[in-house]
Order: sequence, then C-alpha cells, then structure tokens
Amino acid sequence: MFEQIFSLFLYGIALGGIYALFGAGLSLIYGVQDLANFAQGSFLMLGAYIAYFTINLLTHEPLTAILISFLLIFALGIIIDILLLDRIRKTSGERWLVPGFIVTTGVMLILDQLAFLGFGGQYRNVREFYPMILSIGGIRITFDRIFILIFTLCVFIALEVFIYKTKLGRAIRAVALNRDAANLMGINVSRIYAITFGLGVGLAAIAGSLILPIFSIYHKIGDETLTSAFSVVILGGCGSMVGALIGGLILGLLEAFTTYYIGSGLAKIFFFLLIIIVLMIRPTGIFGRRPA
Amino acid sequence: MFKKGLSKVYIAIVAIVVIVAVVGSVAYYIWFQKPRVEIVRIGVVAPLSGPVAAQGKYLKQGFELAAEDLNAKGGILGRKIELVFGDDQTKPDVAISLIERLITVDKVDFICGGTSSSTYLPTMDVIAKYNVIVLLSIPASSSFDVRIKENPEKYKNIFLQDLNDTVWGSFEILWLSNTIKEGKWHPRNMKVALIAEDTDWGRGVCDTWNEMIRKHGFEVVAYEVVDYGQVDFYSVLTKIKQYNPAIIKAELTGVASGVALVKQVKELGINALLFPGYSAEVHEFEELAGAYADYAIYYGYPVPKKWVDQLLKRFPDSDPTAAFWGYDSLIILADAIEKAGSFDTDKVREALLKYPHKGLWGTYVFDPQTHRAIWGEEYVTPGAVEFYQGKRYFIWPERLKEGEWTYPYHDFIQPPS
Amino acid sequence: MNSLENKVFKQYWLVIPTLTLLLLPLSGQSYILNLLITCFIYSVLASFFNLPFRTLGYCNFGYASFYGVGAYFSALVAINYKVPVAIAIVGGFLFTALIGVGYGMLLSRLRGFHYVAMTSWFFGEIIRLIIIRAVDITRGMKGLYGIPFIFSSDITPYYYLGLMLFIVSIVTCFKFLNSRIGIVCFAIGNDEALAQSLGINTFKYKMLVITLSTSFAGLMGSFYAHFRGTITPDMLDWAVTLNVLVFDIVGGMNSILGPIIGTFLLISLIETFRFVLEFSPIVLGAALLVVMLLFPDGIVGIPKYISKFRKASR
Repeated sequence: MFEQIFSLFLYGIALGGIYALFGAGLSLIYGVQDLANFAQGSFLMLGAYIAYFTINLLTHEPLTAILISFLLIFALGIIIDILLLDRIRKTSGERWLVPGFIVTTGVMLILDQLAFLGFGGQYRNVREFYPMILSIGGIRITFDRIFILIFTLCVFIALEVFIYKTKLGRAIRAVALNRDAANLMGINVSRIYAITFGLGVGLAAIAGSLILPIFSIYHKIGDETLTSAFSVVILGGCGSMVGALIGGLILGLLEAFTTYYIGSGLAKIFFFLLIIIVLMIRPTGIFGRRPA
Repeated sequence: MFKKGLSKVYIAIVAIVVIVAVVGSVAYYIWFQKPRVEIVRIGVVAPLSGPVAAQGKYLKQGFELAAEDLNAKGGILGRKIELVFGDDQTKPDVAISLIERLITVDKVDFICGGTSSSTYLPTMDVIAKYNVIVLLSIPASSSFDVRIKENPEKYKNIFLQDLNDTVWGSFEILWLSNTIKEGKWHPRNMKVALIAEDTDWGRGVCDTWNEMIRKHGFEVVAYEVVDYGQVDFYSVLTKIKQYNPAIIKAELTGVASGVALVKQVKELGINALLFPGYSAEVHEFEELAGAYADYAIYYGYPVPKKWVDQLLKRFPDSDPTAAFWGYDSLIILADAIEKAGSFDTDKVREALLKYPHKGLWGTYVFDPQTHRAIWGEEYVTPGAVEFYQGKRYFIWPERLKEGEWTYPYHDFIQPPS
Repeated sequence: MNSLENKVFKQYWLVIPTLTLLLLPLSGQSYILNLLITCFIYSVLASFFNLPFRTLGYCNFGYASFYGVGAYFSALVAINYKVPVAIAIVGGFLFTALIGVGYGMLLSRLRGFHYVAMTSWFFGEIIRLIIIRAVDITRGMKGLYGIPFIFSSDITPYYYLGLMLFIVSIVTCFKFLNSRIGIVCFAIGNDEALAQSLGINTFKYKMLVITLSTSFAGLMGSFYAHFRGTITPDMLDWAVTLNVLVFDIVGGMNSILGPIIGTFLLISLIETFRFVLEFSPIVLGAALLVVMLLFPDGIVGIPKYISKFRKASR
C-alpha cells in the first residue's frame, strides 16, 4: 500500500516538474509581455525533437542534449520575437495583445506542420537517460525520475537566482512591473521582450527534452499538453516562477493519483472544472501578482 | 464602425475571388483526368501520421515493392500499376473523405490498405455507395464480419485480408494452454490482467481473451481500458500490480504504447508474462525497448526470408512484418484480376471469392459470408514469437520454430542490466 | 440600414456567383458539391464565431465543442430514440443553444480577453472529454456511425439544404449586426462600464449574442452528422476552432462577408493543392501571420488598403 502511494508520489512529482517548467516558460512570457503564447507547446515539441536527435546522433549524455536543445530554442524564440512579435507591437501599439496572441497561433500551426514534414509522423522516444533502478527498502525507483526531479529543481533555483540576483533579471522584473517606467530608466524594452520570449520557450524546450525517457513524442505532443501549461499558469499565478513550480507539482500529483483512483478520463474533467473555478474566483492564481 | 456602402469594385473583387476559387478547383479536377488506358490505378490508404505511423510507413513500402515487382513482369493484364496514396491519420472522417476523393476525383479502380478497424468501420457505408472493391489489409475487428454477414449485398465490395480479433486472441491462448499442458510452464497463479486499447480491435482481442481464458481455468483480475496512443501506464500498472497476476495481456497498436508498457512493467517490478499485442510488430519495438522487451510474447507471421532480403535491399529501414501486408494485398488483387481476366468490379469480386490466392504469408481464401480470410494450417496462420536479447524468434508451432521458449522468472524479477 | 441592404442586394455583380451556386448541381460533379457543402458549413461557423468576437471581443476558443455537441445530440436522439431526422436537427440546434446559455452565464462574469479565451478553451475541452468518456452512449473515440441520413439519395438535395442553411445563417448574421441588439453589443464591447451606466442590461445582451453564436454552430453540427453519417470526437478538437478562427481572420473579421470569403478561399486553396495537402496548416499559419502583420482587416480589407495606399502616394 505504502509502496504504491510512494511510487505514485514520485511519478507525480517527476511529471509535475516537467509541467512546472513548461508552465513557467509560459508564465514568464505572460508576466513580462502580457502575451499568452499559444505556440508554447510547439517549442516543447521542437525541444524534445532536438534533444532526441542529439542523443541519437551526437552523444548519449542527456545533459548535453538538454543544453543544446535549450540554446537552439532560445535562439529561435528570440528570432521569432524580433521578426514577428516586435512588428505587431509596432503596428498595433497598445492593443497588440490580441493580434500577438493570434500570431503565436499562426506560429504554432507552422512549427507543428514543419516538424511533421521534417521528422515524420511516427512516435519517438529514448529508452532511458540513465539505466539504473534503485531499490530502497523494497521500493523501486527509476533513476530517471529522480534525475528529472533534481534537474527541474536546479533549473528553478537557477531561474530564481537569475531573476533576483542578476542585472538582466532585474531589468526583466522592471519591465514586467512597469514597462514605460523601465523604458524611461534606460532599459531597452524590446531587447528584454526578446530575451524573455526566448527564455520562456527555452524552458519549454527543457521540459520537452525531459519527456523523452518517459513518454514518446510526435509532432502533436505540444498541442496535447498545452492545456497543462495553461493550467499551471492559472493555478500558480501569472508571472510567478515559484507559483509555476507549485502549480506544476500540484498538477502532476493530481494527475498521478486521480488517474489511479478514478481513471484518467474523469480525472481530467474534474481538473478542468477546477481550473474554471479558479479562473472565476481567483483569476490571478495562487501566487499571482498581476491582474489581467 | 460599419461600412457606409459597398463599392462596386469591392463586390466585383469578392465575386471574382469566389468564382476563381471554385473554377480553379473544377479546372484542376478536370485536368487531373489523364488518359487511363495503359494503367490500373489503385488507391492505398494508410496511417502516415499518428500513433501507428511507423506501421503505416512500412505498409506503404510493401505496396510500393509489390507494384514494382508486378510492373517489372508487365503489370496486371498488361496494364501498369499506379498507386495513389492517402493518409487516413487514423481518423474515421479523414478516411471517409479520403476514400470518396480517391473514388470520385482520382478515379481509382481499386482501393487497398488500412490498419485501424475503428477508422474503417465507419467507412463501410460510404464504400457501399460506390462500386469499387476495397481490400482492407490489416483491420481485424470482427465487427466487420458481423456487418458484412448481416448485409451481404450492401457491403459486397469490402474484403478483409487479415484474420479477425477472435482468431488472434484465441491463437495466443492456444499457445498458452499448449505450453502449460506440455508442462513447459507452471505459472505461479492462475490470474490474468487485461489492458485493452479503446478501439474496436483492442477491445475485440481482449474480449476474446476475457471469454476464453476463463475456460482454461484462469481468473481475470482486471480489465483496464486505455486511450488509443496512450503512453502512460504507470497508474494502470500500479493498480494491476496489487493483484499480482502471472499474465498480463495488453492489446495496443501504437509501437510507442507497447514500448512504454514493457518498460513500465519492468520499472514497477511486475513479474508477469507479457503480451503487448500488435504494437510489438515493428522493429522499433525491440529497438526502443531493448532488454525491457525480453520475454514478451507476440503473435507473429512467418515471412519468406528471400522476400525479406529483397525488401530490405529496396527499403533498408523497412520492417517485413508490417510491409508484407501491403505486398500481399497487391498480390491478392492482381491474382484475382488475372483470374477474372478483367478489371470489372463484379468479375473481380467473383474471382476474389472463388479462387484461393497465394501470397507471402500463405494461401488466402475469403469466407463467402464474411469476406474475410480463413484461418487454418493450409491457409494463413500465425506463430508465437518471443523477444529475447534484442531479437525475436518463433517458438511455436513446430514447423516455424526457431528456438525454445525461455522464461526464467518464476518467483522474482531481476532488473535488466 | 435599408440603404445598406439595398446596396447589397441590388449589386448585379452578385448575380454571377449566385447563379453559379444555384446551378452547380447540374454538372453532376459530386466532388465539387461536397467541397461546397464543406464551405457552407465552415463559413457559417466562421461567421457566427465572429459575432461575439467582433462585437464583444470574446474569442470563443471552445467553439468547436458546440459544433460537436449539436452533432452528437442530434445523432444520438436519431439513433437511439428513432426521432425523425428533421426534428433531431432542430433538437441539436436547441440543445446547443441551451448549453450556450450555460456557457454564456459563465462567461458574462469575466472581463478581459485572455480570461474569456481561456475559460472558453477549458469549457470546450470539458465538453469534449465528457463526450469521449461517455463511451457507453457515444462510443467515445471510436466515433458514431450509422447515423440516419437526411435524404436517401445522392448529394444534390444535401447541397441545396446546405445552401439554404448557409443563406439563412448569413442573413441572420447580417440582420443581427445591423439591428439594435447588434449595435448595443458593439457598444458593450467598446466600453462595458459606459454601456451599463447608460442603463443597458449588458448581461442580457451578452447572453443573446453568445447563445446565438453557439446555437448556429450546433445547427451546422447536426446537419453535418446527418449528412456524413459518421461523427467522431475530433469535431470538438480545438484544432477545428483554430481553423474557424483562421478562416475568420484571414477573410476579415470586421465584415460580414469576411468570414465567408476567407472560408471559401482557404478551403478551395487547400483542396486545389491537395497533392501537397501536408502543407495546408503551414499555408493557414502563414496566411494568418500575413494578415496579422500586414492586412489586419483581412482579405476583404485589401481593396481599402490598396486605395489607401494609392491615396497616400498621391
């Protein structure tokens, strides 16, 4: 009995860690730019593919693969922000959010289909990152899940350090709080926007890479998990990294346990109902600071 | 806010745009009608995206190889074969539009292909509207048989090359009961857990198991249903683990699902004889699962080695167990057309039913009532296959046997190293 | 308003496409008729999706679920209770309207584009999941087949029925947007607080436009169910809503003809280049980007854009 619960618990927080990273990226973009990035899932998917090909072609070391994936997607994010989103901000001025949201939708369509054309429709996965299974007191734990957990925590710590202790992080926070004031203080807002977008989608890429040993990926995996990213943001609050972490863990645990007890179908329905209730009652989420 | 008025120019542009779009489609459609005398056009439907895209790709390659072989010998009745492919995305509405388009626009003479029963069961009524023969290569749900039997005139043009889910399920149980009877295995208990994919095929096989395994003295302790394409079995397996079954029978079609299942079974330390179902068919299964796939049992079909070499020479990354379905489809069709001496639908249909057709797998004879291939030693029959150390080999029946069945885990399980 | 109507209906240029549409079945090309029926369905979806979007700024990201709900309701009552198809379709329309009322009540409490979009999205997903999970009723992911057809013959009557539904829907849209209710909705979308301060019961109007929008989706869904004979939960996928959104925006969300033009054009484009069908989402995405970046008023806005351009360069 206890073994089952612990097993599920571990599974839940590993899954939750991935959701947290995915949602954190979304939350960051939303917190700084006020933009709902509907293409977040596509970046998760692309990040997963990059890591997959890196592991299969270059090196079996997962950390390298994750790093390469992050860097490439980070660069892609910056390019997309500069080419597309910046243009929308210029043409639509203050009311750029709706067109911006729609632009991300267009980006999603294109990236997903390019992935299908480039990589084919079949599922891919990686057998495992580290082929170890630990046995502690009769309870079996795959090392991969522990790795995911530890890695996720490290990323979040790094993120917090970056946002609060570095100059760039302070600039990002400044833009998030008050864009015009930040502009007046000499911060290049466009640059911050681009970096933030890149970082946000880079986090999705990390999440995607971490999925590989657990699930299989294909070009639609981003869309299928997109609701999870938004759920994390809604639960944890827009703009809050800690909130995203907690929201993600809650989501992961809920999914693991409710799927076990009442089956995955009903579980999701109740969960989405919960999300809608949260949207109605406390739209800014548990830790949110920004009103819509 | 509102448009104050619609200028003439504006309306004109709008009207022209609409006309051009419609006329453009018509023109393209008409232009597509090439003179057809020298070719026979065969539409092939397959899942080229989605959970079974791997199997779909190999199926397509099997068709291409068969077309090349047949064309090298002069084609069918002197006409060269032209294949038109379409992606059904494992979705019924896509399959329906695809079939209608192949028939009405591409004007194919015959249609072959298909993997998922749930995708093609809904297409039966659409096929009934036209007079084109559709030979379904892989769909195996017995729901087809039932519907064709009840409505033979309506569904007369639908043929099923594969054995049905009752046969596949019974076959696995046959092997199992044989193995136990011959004293080769003493299972630690008589408990079975079933995991069915929520498709007509998945449920069909597991329902067969559910019914028949009890007759052999087993108890079904769990019957879980999972989504098509599911890759997360952690919760389901955790639940099953507490019942401690000696056998887990899963019927999953997507190779990723099968891989995930065998991995998670071993990760959770479940000691059970594992049947992953159709998902084990393609080589990605043991490639991605590695040692996790060891000792899994699967219903295979023998394919002549010479043909396998030929296939791999032409398509080095292909998989014979998936490609051969496509190859045999064209062989069967070509044989029927030759025997009928004509491309006329009614004559070919008669020939399909009347004659046996020799393919790679065996001899195909279609049951006149269900239009499905008949199971038998002298017709087509599967073999039991085991995975071990990255390879698969037949273990039963005798005439196919490549090795002895090994199953070392009786009491506890060692993690794969 | 009358002058507007007069101008539209007295445009002789409209005669050509109208005649073409009416006489097309004589050609016997069932493929084209099939294509046009799809265009009719989707242009109605795009137009009614556009209603709350254009007036209130409400992007209903769960729109496809209403399309699907109508289809499933109509199909199920026809299959299980042997209800005559015509009544089943009306039933689908009304049932979806009912769901739309519930949805509207939920939505009316929210302010802000993102909240509306998110809530609609999750609402749509909930409905989709319910239909998928109720396997005993709906057969879940395997889909329903054997739905009774409207007509027992070939495609021609379906075409005319589709055309009729299309015309009725477009006229409804037109009348709505030009009516007092429509104008009030625009006002609410512009500044709700101001509208309320003028004594308008904003809740009532919002409910009206949302219910209207969703019920017509249900109507088209019901029509589709009894036309195709098979439906699957894929109709409720938000990918469908996305397509509708693209047709709407690319065509021009600020006009009545916009969604229609967008739908006809894009669907024809996709079908014409069928042999490279795999590129169609890319084309849609690219069209969306082009419109967003260059022609926010969509295709129907191009003539204005050109004339503005010409005026500017003088």
